[in-house]
Amino acid sequence: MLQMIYNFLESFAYISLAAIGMSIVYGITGITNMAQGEFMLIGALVVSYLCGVAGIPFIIGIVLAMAVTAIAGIILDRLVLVRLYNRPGDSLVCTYGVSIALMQVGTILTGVGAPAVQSPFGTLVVGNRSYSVYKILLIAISFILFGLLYVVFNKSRFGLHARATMEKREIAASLGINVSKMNILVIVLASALGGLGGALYAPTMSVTGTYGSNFLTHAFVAMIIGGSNPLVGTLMAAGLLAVVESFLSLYFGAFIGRIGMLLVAIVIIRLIPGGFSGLVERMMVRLRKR
Amino acid sequence: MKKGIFSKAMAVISAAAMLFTTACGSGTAQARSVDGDTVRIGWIHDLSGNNAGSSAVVSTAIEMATEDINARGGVLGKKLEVVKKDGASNTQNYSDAANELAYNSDVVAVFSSGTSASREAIRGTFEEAKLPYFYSSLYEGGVASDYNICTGQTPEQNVLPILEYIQANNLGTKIYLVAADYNFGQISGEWLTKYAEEMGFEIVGSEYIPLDVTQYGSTITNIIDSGAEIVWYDLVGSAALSFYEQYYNATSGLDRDILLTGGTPLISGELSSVDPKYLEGILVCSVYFEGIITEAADFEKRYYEKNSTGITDAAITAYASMMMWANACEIAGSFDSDAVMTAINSGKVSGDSGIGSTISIDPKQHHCNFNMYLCRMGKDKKMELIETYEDVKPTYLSSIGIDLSTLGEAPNKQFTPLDD
Amino acid sequence: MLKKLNITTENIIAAIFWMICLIYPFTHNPYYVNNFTYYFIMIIFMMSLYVLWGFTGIFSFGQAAFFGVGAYAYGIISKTSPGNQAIRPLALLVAVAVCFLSALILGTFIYYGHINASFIGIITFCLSLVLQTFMTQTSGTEWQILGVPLGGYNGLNDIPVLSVFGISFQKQSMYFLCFAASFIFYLIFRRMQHSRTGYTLFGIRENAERSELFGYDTTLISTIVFAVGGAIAGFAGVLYASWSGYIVPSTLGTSISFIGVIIIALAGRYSITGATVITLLYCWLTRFMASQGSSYSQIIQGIVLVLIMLFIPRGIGETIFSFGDKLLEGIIYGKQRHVSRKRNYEKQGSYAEQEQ
Repeated sequence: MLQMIYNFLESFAYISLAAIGMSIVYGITGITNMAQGEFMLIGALVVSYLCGVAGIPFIIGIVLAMAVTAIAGIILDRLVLVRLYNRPGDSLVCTYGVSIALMQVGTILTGVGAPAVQSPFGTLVVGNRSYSVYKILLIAISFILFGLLYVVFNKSRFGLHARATMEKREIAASLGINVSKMNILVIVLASALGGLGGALYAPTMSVTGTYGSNFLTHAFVAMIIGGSNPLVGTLMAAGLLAVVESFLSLYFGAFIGRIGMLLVAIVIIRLIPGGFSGLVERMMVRLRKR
Repeated sequence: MKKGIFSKAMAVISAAAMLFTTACGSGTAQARSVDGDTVRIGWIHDLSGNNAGSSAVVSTAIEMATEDINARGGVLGKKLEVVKKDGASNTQNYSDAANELAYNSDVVAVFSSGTSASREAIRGTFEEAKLPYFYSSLYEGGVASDYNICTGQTPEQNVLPILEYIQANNLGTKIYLVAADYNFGQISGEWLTKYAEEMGFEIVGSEYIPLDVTQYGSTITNIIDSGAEIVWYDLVGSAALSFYEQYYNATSGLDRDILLTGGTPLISGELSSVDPKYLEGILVCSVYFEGIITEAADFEKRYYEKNSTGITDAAITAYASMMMWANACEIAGSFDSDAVMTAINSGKVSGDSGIGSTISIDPKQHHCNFNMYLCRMGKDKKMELIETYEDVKPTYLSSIGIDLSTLGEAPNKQFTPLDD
Repeated sequence: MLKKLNITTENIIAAIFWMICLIYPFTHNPYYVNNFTYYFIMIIFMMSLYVLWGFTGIFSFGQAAFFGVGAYAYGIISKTSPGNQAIRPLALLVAVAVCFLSALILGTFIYYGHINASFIGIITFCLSLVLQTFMTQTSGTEWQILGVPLGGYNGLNDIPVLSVFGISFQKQSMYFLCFAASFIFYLIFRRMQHSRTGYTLFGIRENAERSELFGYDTTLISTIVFAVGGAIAGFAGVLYASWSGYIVPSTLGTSISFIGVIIIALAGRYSITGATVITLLYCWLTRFMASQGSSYSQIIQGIVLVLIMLFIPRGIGETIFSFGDKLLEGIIYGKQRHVSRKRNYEKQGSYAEQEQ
């Protein structure tokens, strides 16, 4: 039983860390960033080379990974994304182009695979099982992240502006919110989160050029069924997908787990077109009316 | 309207053209004539893409074999040249490359390493074009073809030694199988099940995992719950490298020892990308491991002058395949496909493996016999040799009554244990 | 006057393109001809997406799935008795029918289920992935349809060549079959752009709700178009199976769908000639780079895609055609260029309205 909860939480953390960056960008700017996986790759590469080869402590490696990825995000924004804000529909194909180019660069750089990074801490033994302390830490990080984002979005000025932009861009702009600065900040946040996720998972997986695409399917699906609110949407989407996938994988194998997750996503979209965000929004409206 | 006349004219012309060219028939394979001082062979393998990592060793092996052959005067007095094609880990590319080599080039033989899917997609091309085709990767066995020689190890050669060792040393009887969810993995799984059950082992569980999965939480949970004493690992590819770390962390506090073994550990680039701590204790049996064969020292030294990635058996079998082909040409006295294949079918063809042994082609099965080395991984990637099995022969095709020693009578298909 | 004679850049380029395709097999050996056939198959596949996306505004990521289903269906049926030539045309028809029906069912699910059109891409994306994952694990011999093992990751091999009335389509004859098929489709869709059917579809593309209000049953029309798109993709799949002799699950997945989307994005959604020519150029270029063993080909592809999406959003095709037309008018009308420019301005006025 404990094992099931652990597997579920593990899956939840994985999907959340992958999807949060994409959801934030999608929710606030409407752009689908298919290159999010490559931000994670950049984060993982930084950590692999700094920690695996140069021996720099892991924590510093992660901070540096976030910084480097944030810079990459700014570059991407200024070069590409800034021209897409008015036509979000084209963003999917455009960022897909960026993604395949970066993926190939990654493959050329890493060849067989980037140098391995050991996952720090050891294992925790409970009863007959050992649990990777590191994985438990990742689960904790994903929750802390949601908590932090909640505080940022609901209690800070920036969060207020972000939520306004999310609701109605034009009106937010006419109220004096600097929408273009908002966009840059959002991209920086999303790419840093991507770098964080990529760096955190680097010790547990092999880092090759296609590292990012491992996360992309889950992130994309979670983003879609989460809807436009990155907090509520991603949380619930990650939760549901994690439940489905971990449960099905445990009893029927990884293949059924994968298919089940995709089919559930299709059903959710069919039933709740606005995603979980839309659902929650309608519930809140109904609650307030009473 | 102008468009209307235009389109009608085109329709008439194309219909006429169709009938005309149908009457002419389709193109045939070019007759191979080797003029001048060079003879060319083709090599298709993954220079880029997902499988490039495990294929890098093959490039170096090809280079070394070419140098060695040319150093002793070439083949039948002609200098050897290799035409390289990139499969890019993509079956379509293999197919294109195969077509080009078969119908638009002057190569007299083709070699490839890569997935079984790529081999099956192009085998037919070379059978039709009647060109000797050597497949040098380890694979799931069972190919019975006129023109395709498989120079990699097959399950009957590496599964049995491992199972025998486990039984002799009482390391356990309950096996949990984890294999890649595609033909190679599933057929290898069938082989394991067949041999294991014959020898009295119990398969307590099996899982087939898609090639791109990187999170093995549920699988490892199932392994622990099933009471397994042995994990048989048949995963392939770079995504599977993540298994070791997750497995190690989940089982290090366990009250029992689980032996990790199988047909494919260490062939997907583990030596370069996985932390040595997670590889300790793995039991493997293969044609080659680094550092345990004294006669291989020269080969290894030469290899590392060219390439820093760890050497795997893929390099040895690729090297040997070229040597065997050269030997076949010399016995046949020509490069002609049928002459070369007849030489092979006479049973006299063999080649230097580069590591101090000779590998020969079994004429009735078109597979090779190898020295197999049973080893255990120690600390810091140091391999410990447990036992050497000399000249392990392939047995499967003969056991189902196949005899390929007469050219032109092969079934030209792949058999699996479920077929018999 | 130019309009009356239909001398536009688009027609000139189309004429040159098809003439080159017609003459090619007479000047090249069978190996090159065989290679070239692949481009026609991709053109037909691209057209299936073009009908959906370019004409009707349906962004479907699942065309590769229908392509693969068509190929598998043909492969399975024709392999039930490999020596029997008569079964192959039947296999072709059944394969296309299967694709049509499955696309019809999926279309019904989507349109009669009132799913927001913007989610069609995601649903088809997920379904392609599901299908590909499923087919990859069918390698055990228990996975058989009509006695033919599905082959899992290895797929189906040794698929018999399509033959009708005793004509076996290989090399040159296959070339002309594919050439004729793609040319016929091209003419049909070209004609459709100025027909009532075409305008109906454009109406749905521009604003589905408005079309609905005008009395068009957009749900029914979209479903049928989706089904037809699936059938065309399936037909391309059958040709592919016959041409290459094999089909693997990775073909069912999303990568070929992506190629279709990229090509149409590059060429512009408003010109089928552009899409056709670009399909050939793109496929040729990627194959060329792959055969050169270049590791940089994907990087270049990605960058080119980004640049074109950013700077030439209406696509290369349309941009080149309108540029060419202006050149032509300049050459033919010469001094009267000022007058025609003024007329262009008037025209552009209405384009500007449309662009919003």
